[in-house]
Amino acid sequence: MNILIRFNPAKPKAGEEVRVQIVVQHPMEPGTRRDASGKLIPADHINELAVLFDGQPIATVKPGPGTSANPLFAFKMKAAKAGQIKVVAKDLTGKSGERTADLALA
Amino acid sequence: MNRRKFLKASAGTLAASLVVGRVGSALAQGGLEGEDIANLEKGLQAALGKGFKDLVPSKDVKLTAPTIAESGANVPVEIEVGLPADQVKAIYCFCDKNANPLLFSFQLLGGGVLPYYATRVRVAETAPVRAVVETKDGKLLLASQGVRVTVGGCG
Amino acid sequence: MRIVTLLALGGFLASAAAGPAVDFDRWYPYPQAQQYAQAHQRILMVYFWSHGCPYCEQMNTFVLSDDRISRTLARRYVVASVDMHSPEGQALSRQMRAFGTPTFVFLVPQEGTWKEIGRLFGSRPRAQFLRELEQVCAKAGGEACE
Repeated sequence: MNILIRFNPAKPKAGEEVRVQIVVQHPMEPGTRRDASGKLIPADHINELAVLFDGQPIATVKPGPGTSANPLFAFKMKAAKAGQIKVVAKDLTGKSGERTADLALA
Repeated sequence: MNRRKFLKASAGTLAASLVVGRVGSALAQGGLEGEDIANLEKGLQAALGKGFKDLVPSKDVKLTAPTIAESGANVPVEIEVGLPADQVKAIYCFCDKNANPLLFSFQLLGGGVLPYYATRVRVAETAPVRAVVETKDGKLLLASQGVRVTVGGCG
Repeated sequence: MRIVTLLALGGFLASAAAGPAVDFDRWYPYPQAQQYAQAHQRILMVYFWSHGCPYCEQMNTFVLSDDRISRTLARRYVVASVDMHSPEGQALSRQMRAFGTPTFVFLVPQEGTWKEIGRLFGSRPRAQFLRELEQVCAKAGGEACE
């Protein structure tokens, strides 16, 4: 599960708002899609995405089958201090992936 | 993605012929095109244990989504809440016509996270998308936006 | 337009009819779907689709998997799944004059040939597609169309 994390601005000033954009490569199969032979492709989507800052949980996303393939998850936070963002994603089949990114201040 | 030419002219005609009978009644109730409260209700009850009548439309919730989507597979939505972060517990998003109306939930757990969330969602067919914001004091604030999913074909 | 069937297949078809139950909730390559339609006296729905066409994707994800539509198709139809850009698909789409995707061509066996009783082009919402399937079914002279 490939996860990308991007900050905008890349290096915010202390106290500034920063947009954290996460993109995960995942088919997000909704379980209702028929393949070329008409068979239903079993549901397989990320159902939990945890975001931590310096080890503390700061947000949880629970995507349903209605979240698009290769999903984008974006939120905003106040950049009070430099630290490490960690993203942990889990899907319905039990696969998981994680990624960290360092938030640096200007 | 070879020769993707969208035949929108025919799409427009099909959509027009479809909605003629329904738009009138929907507008009479002040509803949005494709509104399906009965189906939405299932999703609200499952996710929140509450119904549509418990939701309070609020100007503090800003939901941005396209009014027309070429594909229902990838519709960008952005939700911004005009309330202090410490008053907001979670942001939910629903679509009236999806078999599973709950598109996602976003829970704020502190640490400077602001009441804002953006993603891309699947919309089964022309219907309202709903942002529901749960506040710390137990209110459910609502913003709705109709999304028309273009019908058509590739030639 | 006429699509000539090989009536020599009659013997095979009779055995197919008596053979193991066919799963009508899935789709088949055109020749196989044609045999099933003939043997089981069903309406043949030829579905032309193409990769990368978002309107086919919309049909596959939300419409053709809808419960009521699936039940209607499984009750009275056989679906032939045809990739418009495969060699077979190109030939068949020329023969049936299907020029875009998604296209649905409805055929019933009649006096040794196939008679077209309807065709649809473009994606459509569930309620509309269901109504159209019921209309095609009624036209084919069937019962239990709804």
